[in-house]
Amino acid sequence: MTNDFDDFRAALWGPATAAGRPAPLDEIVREGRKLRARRRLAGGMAGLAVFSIVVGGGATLWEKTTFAGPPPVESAAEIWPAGTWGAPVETGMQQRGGQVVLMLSFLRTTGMQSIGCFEAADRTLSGCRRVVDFTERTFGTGFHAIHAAGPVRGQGTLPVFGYFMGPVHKITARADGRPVSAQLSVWSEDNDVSLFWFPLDQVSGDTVLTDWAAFDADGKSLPTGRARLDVAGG
Amino acid sequence: MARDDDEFREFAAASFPRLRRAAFLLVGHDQQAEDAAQTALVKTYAAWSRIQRDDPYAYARRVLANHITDQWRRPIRERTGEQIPDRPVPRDMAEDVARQQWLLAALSALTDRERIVIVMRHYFDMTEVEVASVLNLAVGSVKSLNFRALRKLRVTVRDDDDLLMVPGVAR
Repeated sequence: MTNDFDDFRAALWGPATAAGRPAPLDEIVREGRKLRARRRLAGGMAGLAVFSIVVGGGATLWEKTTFAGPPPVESAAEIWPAGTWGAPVETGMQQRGGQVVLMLSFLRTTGMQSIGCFEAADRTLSGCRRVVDFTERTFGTGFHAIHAAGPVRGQGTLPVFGYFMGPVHKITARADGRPVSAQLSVWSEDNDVSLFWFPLDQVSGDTVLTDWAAFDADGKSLPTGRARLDVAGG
Repeated sequence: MARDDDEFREFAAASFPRLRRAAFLLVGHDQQAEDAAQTALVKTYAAWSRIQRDDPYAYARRVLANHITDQWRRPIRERTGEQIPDRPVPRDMAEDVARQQWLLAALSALTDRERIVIVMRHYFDMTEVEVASVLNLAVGSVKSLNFRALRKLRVTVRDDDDLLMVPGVAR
């Protein structure tokens, strides 16, 4: 038996009555945003991890700008300067009258390291940021953009920080031989990315961190990736 | 951004059924097909600002094909010993079901490459050049695969269909 070509094509198209569920648009858009964020973070748009010390108001300003009035503003771009990417994370660490916050932002220039100031809309959010040279183009599970602790000009000292890609629940290391744990915060734009930092009272600028490890919620060890982990203070 | 999202949603709603159908023809499994179509649209969304003014449907088709071929990740199967079943003669209301069962059985007897060429050529109506580009094959290879697949499927083609014009291959 042979099959007519038109019949075959009609079979490919399927029964006219065939119907499936409609496209899960909300889920597609949500996952698409996450994927887009990951791709940008991978280096395509120079995603840079930035620690910023907020001064001249510190926590007060932060509370005022972030949570002023219901409903909470969801778009970080409405709160923070253009280029800020996702919600900044409060570390609770105070430096010279300001709170240290961890945030990601875009810079138009790739591969630069600098300290700069920025403003938030019409509010002056004068602060300094220490830019991480984003040279880890390979994006995968593990540590990324780890930055050593050290002083920022006129603003105090920044902790060791970075981000982890993957379902991390706990990050540990040894600080001059002592076991230490990082603080973690899931990034607002992608819950597979966690921003982390080591409090300065555990890891100061002259501490050498070794034996980095990451664990998921079940205590299972996660790959650490290819980032340099022999971090020392500056 | 909101307008872009609206445009994407409109595109996704319209293209999802066809992408899902193509995926079903390739993997033969409802849930896997739905997942593949959804993945293709997620990736299309991620690239939306770059492709929306070009041809987003072509992009989505390409992503779908790559996603499925990546999933296969196995040597090209040559199952020359397998028999294509005879197409059932329609007798009653169950014709559609019977025809779909025959189609899946027939497609599953093709090699992966033959199968994807058939779906891209005759379901997506892509040109041989387009198929070759997506699959990173020579155009001649696409023609040969198409010819072999149709022959295995025992699909007869009219002269004016111009589907079996494979150089060096006698009809």
